[in-house]
Amino acid sequence: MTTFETVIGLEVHAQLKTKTKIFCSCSTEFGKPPNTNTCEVCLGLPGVLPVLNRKAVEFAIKAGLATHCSIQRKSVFARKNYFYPDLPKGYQISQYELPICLKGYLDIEFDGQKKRVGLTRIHMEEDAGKLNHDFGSSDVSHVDLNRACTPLIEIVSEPDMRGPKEASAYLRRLRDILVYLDICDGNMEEGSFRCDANVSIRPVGQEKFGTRCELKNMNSFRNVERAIEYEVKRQEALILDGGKVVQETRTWNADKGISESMRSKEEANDYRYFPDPDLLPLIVEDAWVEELRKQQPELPVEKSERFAKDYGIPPYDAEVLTADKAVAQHWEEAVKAAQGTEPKKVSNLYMTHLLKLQKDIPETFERITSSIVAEVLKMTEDGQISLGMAKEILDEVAASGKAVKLIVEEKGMVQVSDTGAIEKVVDQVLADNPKNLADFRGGKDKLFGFFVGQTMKALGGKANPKVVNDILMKKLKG
Amino acid sequence: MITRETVEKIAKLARLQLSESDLEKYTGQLNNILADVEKLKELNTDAIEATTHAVEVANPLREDEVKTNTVIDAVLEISPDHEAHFFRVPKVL
Ligand SMILES: [Zn+2]
Repeated sequence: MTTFETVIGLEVHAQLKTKTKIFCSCSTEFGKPPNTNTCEVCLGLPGVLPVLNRKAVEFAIKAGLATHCSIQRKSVFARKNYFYPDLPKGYQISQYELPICLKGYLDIEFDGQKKRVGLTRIHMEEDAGKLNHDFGSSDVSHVDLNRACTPLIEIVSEPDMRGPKEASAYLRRLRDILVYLDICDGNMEEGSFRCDANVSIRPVGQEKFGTRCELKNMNSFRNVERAIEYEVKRQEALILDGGKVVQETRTWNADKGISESMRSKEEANDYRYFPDPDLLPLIVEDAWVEELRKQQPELPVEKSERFAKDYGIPPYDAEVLTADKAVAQHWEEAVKAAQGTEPKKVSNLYMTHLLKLQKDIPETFERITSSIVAEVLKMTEDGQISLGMAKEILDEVAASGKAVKLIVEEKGMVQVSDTGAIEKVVDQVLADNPKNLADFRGGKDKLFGFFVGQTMKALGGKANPKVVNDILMKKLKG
Repeated sequence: MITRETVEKIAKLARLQLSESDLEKYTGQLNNILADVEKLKELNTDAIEATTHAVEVANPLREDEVKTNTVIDAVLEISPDHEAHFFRVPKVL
């Protein structure tokens, strides 16, 4: 039986976090009443001129620098012509033959393997408006043009990926980078980071690519994997059955777990691109690129390597902690604030508890500032509270926003480390259990646990276990 | 050489309805334009970079500052159909 190899190339549309649209001064703010973020330009009224947003260009250059692209001195905006009700002008302004960034790459890691994925290009373009189909009427759609003309960059990869896991690793890495650069909020569900996948298969060893299908409408990393898995199986079955893959666009139906053909309309891809006469070529001088290069923040890979090296935490911890920029910052601030606490201990608390909290209750997680984490860690370090108590306190901070000291008081969470108080209790425990004491001294070492338990019980579970152990050890030996 | 079929196809893509006589006329006109371009091809342009615009001016860029605009109310008013501040169009999927 023939074994096949999967070939995947991805096209990502990332919405840029500018305040205004790409060719006009309308706000890009999300969630405004329909059509209120519009003007003559983005409504496509006749006789208006688009003027390019400097910030959008800077963001595109930043994305290019972070993905090792060569930034083009000259790039040209072109019109992509097609008719659709969400596109008021009858064309989308995009870049075609001369995009702003060419030939980059992204290093990814998946299943413990490293791989370099090539980037073909990054170009700038405007987004379309939004159509609403579900207003109860079966024969009309409602058009909202607030999103029309919002700046996008399209990042096109080489067909370098060989499986669904690789594809999602690439996407995550790309998303993390754009979020680190603070140029895109990377939200797949809300559509600020969208992905189309070109998928084909070929018999292992064959050089020529098979016929590809383009997959659309996958709004989560998980769905990208599922859609590709499904598509590969579909193409394999088709070929093994003696059929042929037809080049087409297919839409992913997450509910049914299948992809469906979007009936390729006649001449669907005849966009008749030509340079937009309203926009002059974009010239990016080297000095501008160099200035932006200096402003580039530390990216996830660099940060992860630095965390491992400077703080001596395991590379795996460093990678997990740096995937999200906010988490990385939170952690590093906590390490600095909790001077004297080993970074590994700080990392453990995040890995075993705080990351889960952040995921489960993102709304209230922000109450746990890095200085609160440091405060709680110092208390454990000093033996005032146990690690279990520390976690309980942090949960309570997130839930109620109360101060750590107050929570400790209310819950009576003070760990007794006062040796005098503990000695007194230990003496009492030994006096109350003469038989066990004699047995222990006679060689029954196992009874140590019994004495620890009795002492802790008498202290209401609040004693510092290390101090209790030390005192018991001393007194039991007599 | 532009054929009548090419003109029909372009017209269809541009949503233009052309009469028989228009089709004839535009086929002829487009061929004349192409003939002029052919003439220009006789010039040696090897050393000249392709131009997309007649003037080479540095691109004017705009700062990222919001300006409000209320033209939408007038636009909705003259649009063929609108509802609840949306444009209303025949169903598309
Ligand atoms: Zn506008």
